[in-house]
Amino acid sequence: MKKLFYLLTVILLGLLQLNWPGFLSFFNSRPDLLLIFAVSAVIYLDFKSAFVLGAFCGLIKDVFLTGVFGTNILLFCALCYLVFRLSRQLSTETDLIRLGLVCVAVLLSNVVNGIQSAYSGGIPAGIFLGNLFFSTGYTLVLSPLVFKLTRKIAE
Amino acid sequence: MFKLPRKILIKFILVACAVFLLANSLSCFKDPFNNFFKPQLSLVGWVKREIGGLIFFHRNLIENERLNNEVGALRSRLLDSREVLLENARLRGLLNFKQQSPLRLVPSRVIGRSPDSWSSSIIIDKGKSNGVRRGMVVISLQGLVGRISESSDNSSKVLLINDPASGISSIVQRSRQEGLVSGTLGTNLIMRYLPENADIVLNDTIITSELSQICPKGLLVGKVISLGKELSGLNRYAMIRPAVDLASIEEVLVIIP
Repeated sequence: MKKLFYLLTVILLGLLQLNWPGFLSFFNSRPDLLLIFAVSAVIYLDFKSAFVLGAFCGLIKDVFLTGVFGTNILLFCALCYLVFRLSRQLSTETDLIRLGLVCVAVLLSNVVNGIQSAYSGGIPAGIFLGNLFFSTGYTLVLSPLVFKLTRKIAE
Repeated sequence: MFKLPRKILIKFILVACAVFLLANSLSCFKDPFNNFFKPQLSLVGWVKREIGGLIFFHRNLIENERLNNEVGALRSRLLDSREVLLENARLRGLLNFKQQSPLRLVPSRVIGRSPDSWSSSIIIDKGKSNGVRRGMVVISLQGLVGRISESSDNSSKVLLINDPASGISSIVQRSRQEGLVSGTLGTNLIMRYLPENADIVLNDTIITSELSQICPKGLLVGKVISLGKELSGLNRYAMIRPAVDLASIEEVLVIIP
């Protein structure tokens, strides 16, 4: 039953991300709710379930993106594994550590996606850096909400 | 005991009535009376209203709540009807454009946007079942929007012109100077590969070129807002403001070749 809830949450977050209101997009950047959910799943669930959920989140992103199919599935799986390894070294009880983990994951994801986007065509350096920092910051700001949601379902 | 004769009493009443009617019908009598009694009447009215308010406090409270709810509901209905009105105007414009245009067009609605900040795309509600195929050009009433990058049975993904992966051969309408317009992920586009002596100035209109394998020629792309020199020093570039507001687009038209 809980797994069904997790899947439904992924779908809902995906839909929200796809229809993110324009007036909430600051400097053309939007939060990566699916990535926050994947990271929070690693913290609150067992690794296997979190890994599968992470792959599912990546699949949803890949389905609706125009880039190379499968990039986000691989990226999300790799980030889940990285966060899992990091969370074993650190105590994930405090909010700051959890924010730090999300920050690492979002920065890496943005760097990979940004390089892929820059490779397909030229992006001015200002827009690249702006996108990198604004979308990372925006995702970090919204991460406590998604963490709360994941913890509520996990309990 | 003192007893008033009936005749005198009747006379007195008749005279009093006559005086009262006269005083009431003539403003010269009426106004001083009214002015004299006005503050007292206002005070009495105020006291009466306040007492009534205290007595009927609970009834008024409930009525106030009901009216507030009604106002909220009416406001939301007003907003809905405004939205319908705006949509109606947009669709009417699209229909007119479709009827006037020599191109075969499929009107469609935007149902989703790119889920990340590193690409610029939209999802529309028309797909293969409506004749929409990969590579077809998407426009709006204002100008070029992008092209279909993937199409499924009932929906399609559109790569917008401000995506870095998008590149369209375009010309300056005035001087026919050619260049390649591509996206920057921001609100503006960039026109590259302009020679050093390119005839291009601010506010020039950029349209699609007939050399473009993707788009029909003459579609409006945007206007030049600034000019610069590339780092290599060999070419110039022009920043272009797209004719279409890509961030808030809701309805588009797919050109069927």
